[in-house]
Amino acid sequence: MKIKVRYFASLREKAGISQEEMTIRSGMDLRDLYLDLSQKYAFPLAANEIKYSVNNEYVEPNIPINENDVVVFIPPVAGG
Amino acid sequence: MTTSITLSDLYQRQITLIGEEAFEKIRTSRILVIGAGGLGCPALQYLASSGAGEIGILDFDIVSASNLQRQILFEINDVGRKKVEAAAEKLKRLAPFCEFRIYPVRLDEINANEVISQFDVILDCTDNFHTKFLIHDTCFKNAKVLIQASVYQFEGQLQLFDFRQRLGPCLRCLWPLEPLDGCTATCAEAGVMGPLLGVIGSMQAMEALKLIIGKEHINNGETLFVDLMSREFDVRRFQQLKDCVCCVKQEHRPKEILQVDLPLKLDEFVIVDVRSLEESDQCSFIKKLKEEYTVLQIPLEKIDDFELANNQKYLTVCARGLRSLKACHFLRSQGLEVYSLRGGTQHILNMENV
Ligand SMILES: [Zn+2]
Repeated sequence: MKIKVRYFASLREKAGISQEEMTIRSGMDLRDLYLDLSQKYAFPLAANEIKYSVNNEYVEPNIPINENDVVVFIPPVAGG
Repeated sequence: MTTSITLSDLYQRQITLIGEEAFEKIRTSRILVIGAGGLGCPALQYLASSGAGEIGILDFDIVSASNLQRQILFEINDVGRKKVEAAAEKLKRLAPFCEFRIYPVRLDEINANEVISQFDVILDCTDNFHTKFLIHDTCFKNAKVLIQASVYQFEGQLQLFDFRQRLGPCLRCLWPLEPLDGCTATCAEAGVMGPLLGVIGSMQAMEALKLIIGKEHINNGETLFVDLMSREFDVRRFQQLKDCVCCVKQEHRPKEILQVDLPLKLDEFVIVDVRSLEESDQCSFIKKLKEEYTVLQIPLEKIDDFELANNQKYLTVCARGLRSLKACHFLRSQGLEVYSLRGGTQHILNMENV
């Protein structure tokens, strides 16, 4: 199933892209997806150190992903 | 020439839009900006130029050359000066009808209540999680409005917490435990561009002004994401955590902080100098303190021989803040409320010389 993934802040920097479309197997939850992508991009933050958002709501990492969801991984940001 | 300029000469454009009554609300507002850096400078500039009644500026830091790229209140000649002084001086020339209060200190568990309780709207323009959570929790406790922002490279995040009714959701609904400083790069490490801070700091000022005059604004439980690279603005919502320690259980934060800057109300403390007598006799700062406050001389190696009363707050002091920290640990283990002066007397004397 097709979804869109967006990266913010330090994750965007590490991935080298702001967003991408990808096809994932159904039944995957947000945490699984983050762990897979962490392998690919060597993200510096553990799965419990970031926030997850789907379609502009913050959600828990254990919710399943649906077709056409826009998934965002949000690391903590403190710069000022 | 300048003395003949009136309030309405300065603020006519704004009064045309919002009306006299709303402008009066701005004129009587009391706003505290914590952090006079990249976000704080543009926020301060616009709050002052919009006619805010009273503005507090809190920052312990000194202007350095690498600040000037984004901290727009400062000039080359300000390098080496205290940020709060350079900022207030500049802003007074822009906004002669505004009252400025400056706090050249680091916000900590001792001074946070005291400073924050004197204002209505607080802008968090700081750059570390520890201070952000301290400000947040203190604003909740004191039923204040907090407008918080953070940036990273080309992106910013804004949140507004109106705690006047002491209702959530709050920041701890999203992050029950504060992220550790160091888990993400700072501006110094990751780099940042000046105009981003101009945009986000100005937005903090705008949200503050809209809230003060009763217009719509960012709500509790929303984060506004601003991405100046892709030119996208979007809001994401979060729910109240049903057992949130802050906005549901309303538990007070433990006094985990050991090191503090010189407290504003030093008379509430008994000062304990833990250096040797000879060393302490040569210290001009302690000499000055002795004229006004209670100072005990207890060298570190003798600290366990003394019994100190536990109905009193203590501040341990030495030259660099290391021995005083050890003494602080020891005295805390005896059940006393003790803080250690960060950086010691040398740090204070260095600050006085700039
Ligand atoms: Zn909460």
